[in-house]
Amino acid sequence: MNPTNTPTTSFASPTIVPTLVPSKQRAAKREHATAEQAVVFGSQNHLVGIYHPTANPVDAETAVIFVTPGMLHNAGPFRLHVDIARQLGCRGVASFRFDLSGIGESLPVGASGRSIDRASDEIREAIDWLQEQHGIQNVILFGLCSGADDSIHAAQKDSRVSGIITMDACGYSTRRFRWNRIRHHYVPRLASLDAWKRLSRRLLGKTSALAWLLQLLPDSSGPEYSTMPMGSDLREYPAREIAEVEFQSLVDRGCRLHMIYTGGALEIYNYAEQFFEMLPGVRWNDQATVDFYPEMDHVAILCEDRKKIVDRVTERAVEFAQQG
Amino acid sequence: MKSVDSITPFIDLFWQQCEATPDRVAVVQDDCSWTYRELLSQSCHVADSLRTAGVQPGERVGVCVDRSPIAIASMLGIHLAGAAFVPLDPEYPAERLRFMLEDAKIKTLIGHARYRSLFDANDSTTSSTNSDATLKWVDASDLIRDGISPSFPVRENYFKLTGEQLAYVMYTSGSTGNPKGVLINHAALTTYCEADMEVYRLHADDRTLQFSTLTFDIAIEEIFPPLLCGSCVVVRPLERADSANELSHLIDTLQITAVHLATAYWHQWVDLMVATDSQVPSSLRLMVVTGEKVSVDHYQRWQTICDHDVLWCNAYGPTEATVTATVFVPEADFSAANMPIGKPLPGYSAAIFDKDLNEVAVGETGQLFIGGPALADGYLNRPELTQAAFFEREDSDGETQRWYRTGDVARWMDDGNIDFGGRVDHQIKLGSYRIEPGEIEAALTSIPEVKEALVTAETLDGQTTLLAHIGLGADALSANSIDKEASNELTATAAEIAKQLREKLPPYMVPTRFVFVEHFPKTINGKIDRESLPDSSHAVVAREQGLVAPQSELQRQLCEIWSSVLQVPEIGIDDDFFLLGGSSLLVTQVVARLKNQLGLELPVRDFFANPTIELAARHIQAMLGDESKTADEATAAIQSQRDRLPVMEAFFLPSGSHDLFAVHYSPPSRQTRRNRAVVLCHAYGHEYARSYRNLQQLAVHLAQQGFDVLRFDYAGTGNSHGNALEASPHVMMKNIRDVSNWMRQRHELDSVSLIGIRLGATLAACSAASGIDQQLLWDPVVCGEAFLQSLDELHAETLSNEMRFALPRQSSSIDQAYGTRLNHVIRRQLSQLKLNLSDSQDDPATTLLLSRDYVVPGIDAPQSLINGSVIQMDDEIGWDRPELNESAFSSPGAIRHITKLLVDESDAGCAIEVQS
Repeated sequence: MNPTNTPTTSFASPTIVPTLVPSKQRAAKREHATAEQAVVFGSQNHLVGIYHPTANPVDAETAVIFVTPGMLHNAGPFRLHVDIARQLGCRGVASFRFDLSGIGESLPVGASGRSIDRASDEIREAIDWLQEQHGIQNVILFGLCSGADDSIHAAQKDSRVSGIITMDACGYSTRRFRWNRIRHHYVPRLASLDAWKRLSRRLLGKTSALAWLLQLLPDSSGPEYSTMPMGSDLREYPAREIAEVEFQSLVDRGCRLHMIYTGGALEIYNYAEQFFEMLPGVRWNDQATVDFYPEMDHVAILCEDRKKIVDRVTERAVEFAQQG
Repeated sequence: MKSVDSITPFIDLFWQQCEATPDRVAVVQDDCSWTYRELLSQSCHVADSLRTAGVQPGERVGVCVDRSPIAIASMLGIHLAGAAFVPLDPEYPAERLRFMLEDAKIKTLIGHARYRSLFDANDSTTSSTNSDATLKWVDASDLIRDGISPSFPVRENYFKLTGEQLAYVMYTSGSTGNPKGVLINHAALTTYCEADMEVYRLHADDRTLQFSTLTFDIAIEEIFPPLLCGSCVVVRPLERADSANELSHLIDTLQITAVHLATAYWHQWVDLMVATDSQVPSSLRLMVVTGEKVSVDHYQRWQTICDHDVLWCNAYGPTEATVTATVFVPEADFSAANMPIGKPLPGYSAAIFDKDLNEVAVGETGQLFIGGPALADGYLNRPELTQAAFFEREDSDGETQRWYRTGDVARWMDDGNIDFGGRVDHQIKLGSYRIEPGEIEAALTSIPEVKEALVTAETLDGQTTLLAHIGLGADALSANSIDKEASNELTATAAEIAKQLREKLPPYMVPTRFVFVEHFPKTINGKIDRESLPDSSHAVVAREQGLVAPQSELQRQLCEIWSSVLQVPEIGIDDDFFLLGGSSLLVTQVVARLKNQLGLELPVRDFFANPTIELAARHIQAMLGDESKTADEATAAIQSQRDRLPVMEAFFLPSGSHDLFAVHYSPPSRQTRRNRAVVLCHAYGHEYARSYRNLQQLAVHLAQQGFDVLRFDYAGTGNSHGNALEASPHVMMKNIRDVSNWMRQRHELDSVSLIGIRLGATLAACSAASGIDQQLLWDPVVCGEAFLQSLDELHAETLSNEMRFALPRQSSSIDQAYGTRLNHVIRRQLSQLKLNLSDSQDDPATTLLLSRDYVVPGIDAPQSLINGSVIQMDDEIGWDRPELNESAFSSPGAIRHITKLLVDESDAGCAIEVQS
């Protein structure tokens, strides 16, 4: 190809002969990087993941698995998972990030069943792969949004899950939540005539909206698993009573929990202590901790927020790994 | 009643309006905005040009122009030249267009250059005598005058019209096999416009959306009445498809106050707003629904999503009464089972007669007749039809009045409104169209294999489609028995017939189902015995080749829901929802319908995991606890699905000091390999996430077509090594060169193809990669500086976006833009990046793929970017819409075009060739 025929750009396009075999000088630099392993795995060779090893493991049998959030692929929102994986690697914890089927690079092969169960099955396949290939016996799941729901659900089914770190997981209303919600969300809207009109029309005209509003009432008994209304997110977390049973089961078997909530989940979670107050029946035995970042958005779009998340998740994951 | 002669022609009323409000905006489209003075000036210029071209008063001038300001000026200019306009739709088959040319004796035609070949007689296989040589072609672009004369035009310099002279000819479906031209005179047009203004309460501050194609009479009501009250006609951007979800966006962004919609389209729009929990746009004050029976259910849904005052009207009217003849405005508490069609407009009359032309009593049914000066003169060159449809009748006062026989059954209601009861004859109402089945039957019998044909409408689950009974003759059908093989043969026959029909008729006139018989049963007097024909349960669908039909009731129901949501008539059970045009927004509609129609509530991600009908049905069955499938059958189904998908490898490959994450897609084992390799070049920043899924779908699809495809992440992006500050344009271009070389070496090929999207397209074009045989650039970033600026603006808006942050955030010391870390090196390199393809040569072959809403700041015609092929696609992506910044999109149009371009480079001839 004649370079003069290429489209013009105001800076010169350097003519570079591609280096397919790395030079000795660069090989050393790459050695660490190439240790990352991209794999296709799963019963149908349909799942794609990346294993990030660590040179000095705090526990050679523990690794973190990143569960994909919503429709985002395994790099995470704005590479959040990649950044956490690298920092974990430096701090002695290996990790594995992969795409659930139909998300990212993983192919949809039509495994049926509830999506939250399908996710659990595929997380189990990922743990199997780690166990077979790298001798991993315990995993810590990290999940944001639906990834948080999937992580908690998968942990019920697989005793190899020793820790869970979530961002914007489930939320259930409490008296203080409702007061905060009224004060900071509804009261400012009282002065809006349009908001009143919209509300009345919705209440009178749309049974689905009415059903959704009714779900916010404290004593409503929802279905075993409810799907949040469209537009909120793709959430499948259980009713409060079931959640209490599930969390108690996790705590009882020694699974450690760290829950992070952001300002992006204010419609379900709006104060730091809500996690413990919304699940009053669970005996936590000091195995659960919570961070609340009200100023932050749901996916930590700002670099400074992302750094906070990366640091905090790494810190907690390393602690979990150290404790086996 | 006014006499026709005493009614002032529309063009004179318009002229008066221009004198009254010369500086108000009359028409606007995108960046083009004409005041009344400018529109009049342009119209006069059209008239002058036509006179120069030899157009004489009374002539009929064809208009084959897209919705645009110049289209409006052309129609007005034709009137000023004393002629009548004849709208011609470029979407019609060439044969039909040539018939219209000949029928209307059109000697002069205003059109876009790209449509000229449609009227080229040399391209015809028919015996048409109207040749290009006798047709004077006036290029629409030559009619636009830059700058207007400071002096106001003088009316006397243009032709003086009278009310009885012809204003336009509007073609509608005809029963003889050809369309029929309805003749509307100036008095009728004025009568209609004045009634429209009064009933719809038009005023100077209105902004009416011009949404309809010009060959449909809704366009008349969108354009002409608003121009008599000093208001603005807002023309929908060019080449926009009927996609309901964009309508709210158009109304919001263009601050539209008045919209006229065909009923079927309005139904879809309401469904979409309900499903997405959105409200009727706040700027809207007039909503006119017309064309067919309105569902009361939809009207009630409309009320639940409309939180401000909107004048909602159900309009009824045949083309033979200009546009609308009756209007019904329901009360807020309207709850009747049927939506009436209302009362006659001012200047119109309506009557319901029995078969002896006696008026029927209130509540009794009869045929609806329309009278008044807005009636058409009749049908062009069809005196017998005119005589049958229009007649004069003396009423009880001894006055003689002219009436039009609508063919619709109706009854008077107690409150003076008219209730609509369907068609008297066999004319079919399909969506917005009135179809004469005879026209389709004539087209069918022109196919040699078809001996007899009968077309009817059938309504299944509220959806009306066309059903064709076909007599193939004894020899043809006797070979067919009822076994499966024969059934497949009939399906193929139906597909072939449908294919041939599509060359003769508009798509909406092609039947979807066919019943084949040897001969039609006949009555004793030789007419077709309709009652004795096999019913539609014997029908086969004109399936496209390779389409796998639904096997179970659930699959059939899902097909219907998908078909309805995607507006795709035929869906096979292994078609991918997203490759058919499904987006996350449309998934919400499917979710809503599943809930409403089947009582199923499913999370959206189930659609991502089960994107075909076959998979979705099996998933739903499993969710419902259906154990009828054994574990082996389930495993076999999964294996079958996997076998259809590509073989994948994931790995890291080197590029300079970085290792790039890549996924290689090889064709499925049963697919023949083409020995062609393709590299996909991603977008950058938040656009990487937006386009990620679409590129992955493209990779899967191309692999299924036999290509080897590589998708990779640039250094410092996605899963590749390096940090975000290393992802500079120089580095990314090197990555493209290295990956292309790697792919060539891996497959031992001399060359590979590059497909780039947004910044990836720009980088691919500028990378100077060697061994590239073809590069397809999809919505490229033309100016890096503007792109950078948009990133910064987006970031600033995000900080104060209350939907994202509970409280506004302040800029920090970190240099970043919407999630992506930047530094001065990236900024400098990005701002220096400019794409200029106009001087490039043919090596590699470059094609620009442009989404419908793709815009380049400062460039009116993005096609001018390249000295090569440009493909304008129907899909809209919304790169500049902040609310979509983190939404994945699907672009089946792009995938289709890209596949075609790659499969057969010679097919690139379908592109619009544009000279820079």
